[in-house]
Amino acid sequence: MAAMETETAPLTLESLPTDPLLLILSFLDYRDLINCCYVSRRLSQLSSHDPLWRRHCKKYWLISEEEKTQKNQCWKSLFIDTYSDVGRYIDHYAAIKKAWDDLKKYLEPRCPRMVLSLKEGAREEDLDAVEALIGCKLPDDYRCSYRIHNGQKLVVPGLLGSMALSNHYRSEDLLDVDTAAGGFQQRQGLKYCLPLTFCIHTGLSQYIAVEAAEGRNKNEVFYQCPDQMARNPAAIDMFIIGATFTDWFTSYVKNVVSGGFPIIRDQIFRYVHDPECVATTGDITVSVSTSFLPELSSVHPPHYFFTYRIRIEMSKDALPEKACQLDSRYWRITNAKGDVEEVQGPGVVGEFPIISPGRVYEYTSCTTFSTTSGYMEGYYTFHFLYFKDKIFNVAIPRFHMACPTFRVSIARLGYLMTSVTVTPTLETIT
Amino acid sequence: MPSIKLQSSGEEIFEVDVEIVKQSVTIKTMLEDLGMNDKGDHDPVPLPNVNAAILKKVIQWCTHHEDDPPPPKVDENKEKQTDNIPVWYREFPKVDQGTLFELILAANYLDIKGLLDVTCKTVANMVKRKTPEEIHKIFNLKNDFTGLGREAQVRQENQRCEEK
Repeated sequence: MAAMETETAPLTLESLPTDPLLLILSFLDYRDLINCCYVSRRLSQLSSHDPLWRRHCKKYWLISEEEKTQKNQCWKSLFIDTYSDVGRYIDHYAAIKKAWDDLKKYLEPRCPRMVLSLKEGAREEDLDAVEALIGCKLPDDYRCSYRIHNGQKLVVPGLLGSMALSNHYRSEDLLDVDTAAGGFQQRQGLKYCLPLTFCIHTGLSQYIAVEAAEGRNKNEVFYQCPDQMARNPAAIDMFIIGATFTDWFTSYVKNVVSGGFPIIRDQIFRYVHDPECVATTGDITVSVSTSFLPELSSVHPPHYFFTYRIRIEMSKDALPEKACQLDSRYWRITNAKGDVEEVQGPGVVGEFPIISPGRVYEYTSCTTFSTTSGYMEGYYTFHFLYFKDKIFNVAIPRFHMACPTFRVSIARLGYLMTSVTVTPTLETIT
Repeated sequence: MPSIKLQSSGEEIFEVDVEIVKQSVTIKTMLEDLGMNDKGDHDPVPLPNVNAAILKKVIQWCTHHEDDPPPPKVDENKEKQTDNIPVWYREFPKVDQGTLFELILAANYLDIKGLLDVTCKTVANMVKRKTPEEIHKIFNLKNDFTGLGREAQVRQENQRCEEK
């Protein structure tokens, strides 16, 4: 506590005692702290007070105490070193680095092959060379991510998830920047689009629009959906998956690390599960998750392809005599227009599973809608194993499916100057 | 209600509620150490470091904030906001710089965390997004880097932090 001169010269910022001055400096951002270094000797000394820089190192670069100890540097010098390397990306770095750290931590024990396939970060020169090659600037957040990891080696399983049906398998790898540059599109319909992912089985790619064109906003990430009926090959509709690279990547990582996307046999499956989509009948619980397959869908003609994964399980506390076998299924399928289709048949995917206490049975099937959304519900009919004449129904909860927001191709809109965006809703039809 | 007498550097006496004045950890400690009871019948507490004008403002602040919850424990890593100063707060320190700094000194000496925070945040907001030249001007400071040596050293330390 410094004594205050009440009779002498008026107080200035300089003459404040150290503690309040440090408190003032603690409210400043890194740019302002650096500016204070040039104001006077005292401010310069106080602005370099190392604990002030710890906060900025953690906020912008996610540097931990362990890392600092390991590197044996002070916080300020760590901040400046990192800034001189990736300072260009300071607005994006923390969000993207965190996403990578969370993703790797989650996948290491579950999908070790995938983590091993991640390539080392690209250098600034490599990214500049790609920009020169394609004649366009890459988005800053994309560059930032590629400084951390330059995609994957083209192996299965893909970092961006897999999907498997009886006759269709897809696994999306995150492309490295040079391979992506090789796939840079200049043709009508996909102008200025750079592929982010690639599936070696289906040729499917997610693209990022590095420049606005043809109704696309700059930085949008989408699946292309060629117009099946158009003669013009430029008529490409787009399912929008993200507004920016950061938006796309961070929301994908969130879905993975929250357990939202199941990991099955060391691959990530992009099934979406609504936790309320569960029905219990007696000791049996049925839950459903769904996935939209853009590679098997089209906007024109309207054909939206969904796969669903059903989990049937019996409580482990159920009595042994409750064991039963599935005989048949009944489905009621309703599209957005209210058209209803009923389907009945023996077994599920050609099987007649036996469910006993503690047993879990899962299977995958698919459905299509001529509207952008729809829902299904129904029941299974079982018989008890030890009382073959006793049959009962097990409810399948209603589950909804909707395709992602899509943008209609400009080529098809013809004279219309603006693009048309459609966002399907999940409204139920009564 | 029990009250306490405070005496400024100019020996002016201010009578204040004990509960209000206890927001100053310094005064609270003094009261406990000196075993002063709440009956109000005692010598005034001398505050030779605070003049009457400032003491008046400090008391005014404390009166307004008697019912505030205690300030949260500082989390070193939590984002430090400066835009969360409520309206009344904002008006209060709208004083000339000299008074603002005197308030900081008083809050520091009297250990009143809430007042110290708001006055320091106010100064921080004046520094934000200003160039060093602008900071010199606003606060009437002198560039006291004598000779080229020290300033050049600072420049070298920080040049890799130049705006990209």
